[in-house]
Order: sequence, then structure tokens, then C-alpha cells
Amino acid sequence: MALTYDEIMEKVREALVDALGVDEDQVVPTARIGADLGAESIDYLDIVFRLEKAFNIKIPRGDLFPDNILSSEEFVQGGKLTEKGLQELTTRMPYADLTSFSQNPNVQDIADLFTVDMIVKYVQAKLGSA
Amino acid sequence: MRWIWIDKFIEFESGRRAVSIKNVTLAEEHVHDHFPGYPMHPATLMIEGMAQTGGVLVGEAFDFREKVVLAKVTRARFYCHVLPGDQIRFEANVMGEVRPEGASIEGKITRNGELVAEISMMYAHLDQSRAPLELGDENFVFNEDFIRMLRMRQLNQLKPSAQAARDVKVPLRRRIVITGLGVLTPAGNSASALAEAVRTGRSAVTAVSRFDAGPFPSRVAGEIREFDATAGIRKDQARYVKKMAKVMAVDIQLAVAAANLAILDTGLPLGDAKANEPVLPTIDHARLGMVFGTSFIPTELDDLAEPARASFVDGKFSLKGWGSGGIPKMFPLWLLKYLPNMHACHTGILWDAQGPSNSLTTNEAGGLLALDECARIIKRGWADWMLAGGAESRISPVLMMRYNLVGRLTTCNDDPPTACRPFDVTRTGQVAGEGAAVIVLEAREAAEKRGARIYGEVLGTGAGQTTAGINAVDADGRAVAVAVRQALAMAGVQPAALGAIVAHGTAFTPQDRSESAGLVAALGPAARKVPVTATKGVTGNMGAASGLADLAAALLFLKDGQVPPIVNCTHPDTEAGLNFVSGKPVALTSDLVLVTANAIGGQAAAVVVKLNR
Repeated sequence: MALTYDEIMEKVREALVDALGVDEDQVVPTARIGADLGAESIDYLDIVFRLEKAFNIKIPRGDLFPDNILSSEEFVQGGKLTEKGLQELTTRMPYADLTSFSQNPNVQDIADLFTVDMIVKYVQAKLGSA
Repeated sequence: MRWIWIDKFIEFESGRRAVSIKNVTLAEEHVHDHFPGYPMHPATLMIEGMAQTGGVLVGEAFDFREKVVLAKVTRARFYCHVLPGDQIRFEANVMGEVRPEGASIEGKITRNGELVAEISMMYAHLDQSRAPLELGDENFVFNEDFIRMLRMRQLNQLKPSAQAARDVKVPLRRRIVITGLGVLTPAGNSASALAEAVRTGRSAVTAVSRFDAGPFPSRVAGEIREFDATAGIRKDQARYVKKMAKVMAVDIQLAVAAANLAILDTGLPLGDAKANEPVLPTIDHARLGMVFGTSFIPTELDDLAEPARASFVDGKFSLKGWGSGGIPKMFPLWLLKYLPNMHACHTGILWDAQGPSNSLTTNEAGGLLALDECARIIKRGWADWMLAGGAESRISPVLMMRYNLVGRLTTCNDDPPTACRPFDVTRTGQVAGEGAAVIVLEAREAAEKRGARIYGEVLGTGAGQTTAGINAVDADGRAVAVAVRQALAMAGVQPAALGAIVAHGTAFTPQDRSESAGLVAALGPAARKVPVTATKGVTGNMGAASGLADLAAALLFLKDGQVPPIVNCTHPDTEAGLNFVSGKPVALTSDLVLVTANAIGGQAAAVVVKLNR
């Protein structure tokens, strides 16, 4: 039987508490992984590892946290995502909420898209398609 | 008129060479009057300047016991005028050597590297008492006042002493004091807890509780039951420690905890995090550094169990299975958790230490060798505050099994508190222990300026090595002997002047014997007199933390003027040739204390400190 949002949230919370040394009550759906929970680049590796273990899934590199969009001139110009870049991001992160980001798609704000809610939805999608 | 034609010496090598300078200015009358209308420095006065430079060089060679007179100007050739505003440089070199009857020098005068003159001259020595009678005292330029001032203000600073020329181990001028102690051991989480356990003879060795040691030959250990690596530090620092705990093996957590205790112990105030102040706002963080003695850290079995299980193929562990099933199950940051340089890494980040940082993996000698290096760094002037650290946990099934297999650990498990018996004839081996010790070394002038509490002064340090083998020690203890001799020489302390020795003493017979032999070789006849104590009966072998924990505790337990007996040494090994303290304390006869570390593998270290009590 498929896991509910709350059940997934519980396991994601556990993974983030272990990976980032944060308190359980800090891990709310709107919390941003970097700005709110203090994750640094190396922590993303750890988070992916813990999610794979917790849900028995495979997370290919760049799947949960797309890492190659920003290095392409096609997608990024003048520090902002191009129309094409936004389209690419929407395809790559169907589980992220891009509504407010697309108003002013500054590259430096992209990390704010990585929220707890996004991770839960990603896992949901992953488990649903498995 | 003072007939002195050089301003000051800038280089001075006794009996060999001297360099002085003279600034020529319009303020000097003679400059105007030599050739009226064309102010210049007379060549005759350049000859006098050279005669004075060479005269002091020749006179000093016999400690100014004889009067030096200019006997002959062999040669003087001038190439250009010297004008007001010029600085000229006199360089005098002794030809051959300064002999009882006198000496010849060859001299050169330059201005900004350009040759002004070449002058050779001869000097004769006159007997100090006869000279004034024959020539009149007023004819000598250098009177006693001049020579006293010259010695005090210039020559003493410029002249490398004869001792220094022969022996590079002579200390540089900076003095180093101990102003902070942070110690975690099985006896408790402070230096005073260890000191008190040693003084009262209370062993902290118990049955192993960390894991099921049932099937192990050695089942006793010195364990730290609990500690808090966030105690006393700022909230932002505590957050860092909490977050990083996942990538800190217990060795590293112990190191960070001890470093925190040590820094807090210095009395340096913490900055206000909310006001965005540095962690230690009263010091220059670029002048704060550290060296840690560490050991290899075995991977915790909990980290390995799942990947190992996933590597099984047909009920057996398989390397192929490890590649396909095992590795993906490995915690991806596992390496960061076990690297032996992460003690300094995390401590450095936590305290924003921007000065020199290093890690030494020299087994049980690591802590004291770290102190040796820290002292040298401060002496070189590269830092004012150095954390000398050592941390290690040997309470791991992997390590204990390894040390069991190589025969180092005791198998007397019945009475844990008496299991570790250093220098006792009934000793049966080491007890695995764990601990961390960090000692804050501070340049004395910095410590005095801020009115710091000073535990003692580091007078000398030494390091020694042997090629005995990776699992051996030399029977003659040559590494210990080298380290002790160096430390004593640097301290300028005679063996008989020592008040006490705190020896490594692990209770593993070959190691104890090697250390004893090394101490006897280095101390000579004093070896039978200076009281020797040791602490491992209390803690077991804390590896890289050992020497520094011993030093920190000794600074406290010797304060009352008593050298405590070696815990569990009731029948001292009389063949060792040392004065082991057994049964009851003996009086401390001087504040000079030697601490040694002697690792299996051949690394040894020694430090001589002066207690402040």
C-alpha cells in the first residue's frame, strides 16, 4: 500500500534530523533545506543517501537536486533563468512549487526551491512510479 | 669630545667578523670644516671608523681583557667621497685568527653596496694594567663605560653565543607558558579529576561496557562514560558541534570537547554571537593555531554492518558483492568521520583559529610531540596561542582485538582496578583506554599582558625515533634517551635538578623496560634519585592523549609538593635503575618536571616544565 504524505514526511523528517543535526520541530514542509535547516553542499549527498535507505529507492545524481541547469548558457543569462531554463526546471522538478520563483527567476534564489515539502513530493512521485 | 666614529654594530660574529654603520650628516662640525664650502666626511675619520669596528672585534675575542692598539695601517685605498646624507657601512674580517699578541683585519667600506674604501690594519694587544702607564689612559677610545654599554645594548643581541653556534637546539628567546587545560579521561572530565584520582590512588579501570567483550581475551578498559562537547561554548558553536557530530568519530568528539574546555579554562572571554563578535574577541585569531596528536580510527561496526551484510553472495562475504551491494549502503561521508586530521579541522573551524594547524599521527607520542611542535611555532614567532592536543579512543572491538592479537593487552580481568600495573614486577600488559587532553600554550608576554593564570612554563621539548619495527620498541630505549636529552638541553636543566618524572609507563613489559633504559641512559647517576611516577594504573592507555593528560594532571597533582605513588605499583621493578614512587608519596624537591611518552613503533617525546606554584 502506498505511503501517505504524512508517513513520508515522518521518514523525511528523521533523515533530515540525522543529516543536519536540526530539531524535529524545525522540519516543517515550508522549511528550506539550505536557508532554514543549514545544509551545505556536502549535506545533499548525505540527504540523498539517507532517503535512499529510508525508502529503499534509487536517486540518480542530479535527480532530486538538479545540478547542471545552472552551468548552461542556454538556461542562464545575466544571473537569471531564461524562458528555456524555466521550462527545463519545470520538467526536472515537477514536484517543486515554481509559482513565485518564476516571477523573478534569480539564480541565487534557486536553492530556496529545495524545501521539505519538495522532498516529500519527490519521494511520493518516486514511490508512485515504482 | 667623544672620539667615536661609528654609530652602531649591525652584525657581530665573535673573533671573525663585524659590521657597523655610520650616518654622515650636516649636523657634524667636521663635515663643514674639512674642505670649507664642500662638506664631506674626511678619509682619516673613515680609517678611524674602520679601526674602531675592527678594534672592538679584536678586543671582544679576549673579552676586552686586554687593551687593543692600532699598530699599523697596512693599506688604505679610497674610491669616492662620502657626503652628508650618506650612510656608510664598515665591514671588518679577521685574517686567520685573533692571537694573544694581536690580529690583522681586512676591511671594506661601502655605501649602498658601492665600494668606498679598502682598508687593512694590524692591532696589538697591550696588557690592561701596563697600557695606561705607557700610553696614558686618555689615549684609549674604549673605556669601561663604553664597553659595558656596547655589550648590553648591541653585542649581546647580535652575537650568536658560542653555545648556539655549536648547538642548534638552544632555545630562541621567546618564552612559553601554559594557561589552559582541557582534559577528559576515564577518571572524569577535567584535569583536576585525573589529578585527584592519581593522588588518591583511585583507578577508573572497569569491565568493558561499550560492547560485549565476552569472547575477548582482554575484557577491562578505561572508559569515558559521558561527556558533552557543547558544554560552556556559544550557541552558534554548539549548533555546529551538534550538526557535525555525524561526521565525528568518538576520537574527534573527545578532541573538540577537550579543546573547548582548554580554551574556556584560559579565561579568554567569549564574544557576543548576536553582536556578530568573533568567538575570542580579545585576541588576534590569526595568531591562534593548533597541533593535534591523533591515531588511526577504526570504522565503527555499526557503520559497516549493513554494507557488509549487503555484500554477501551465497551466504559468504564477496568482494564483488561489496562493489555492487555493499558500497551503495556505505554512509557517503564515512571518510570524513574517520580521518585523523579532523580533530584540528573541527576545532579550528569552531574557534576560528587562522594560525598554523597540523596533525601528527605518531601513536602514543602524538600528544607530547604536538606540544613540541606548538612550542617551536610560538618560538619562531608564528603564533601567540597554540593548542597542543591529543585524543584517542581504544575502546573499540576492532582495536581491542588487534591489540589482543599482538599481545599488548593484559588478560587479567578479575580485578579491573588493579589490572594496569606500570613498572611493577607483576605487570601483565596494557589496559585499553580513551581520553583527550588539550593544553593551551601562550607566549609569555601575551599571557602576562592579559594577567592570565599561569600553570607552568615549558622550558624544553624533545623528540626521538627508533627503527625497532612497527610493533616493537628498542630494548635500550634510545628514542626516549634522545628525546629526554634534547628536552633537558633545551631547558638548560641538569638531570639532578629535576624534581619529578611522569613516565609513560603502560605496564606492557617491553615498553616499560625500553622507557626505563632510555631514562637511565639520558639521566645518568641522577636516574636513581629523581622520583618517577605514572598515571596509567588509573586510566589505562589513552594513546595519543597520554602524555598531555599526564602533563596537565601533573601541573595540578604536584602543586602540594608531593609526588604521588604509581597506582598499582606495589613491587617496583628494581632492575630498571629508576626511583619509582611506590606505596606513599615522596617530597617534590624542585619545580622542574620531566614528562615522557614512549610509543610502540619507536616514537618518543619528552618535555621539561617548570611548575608555577
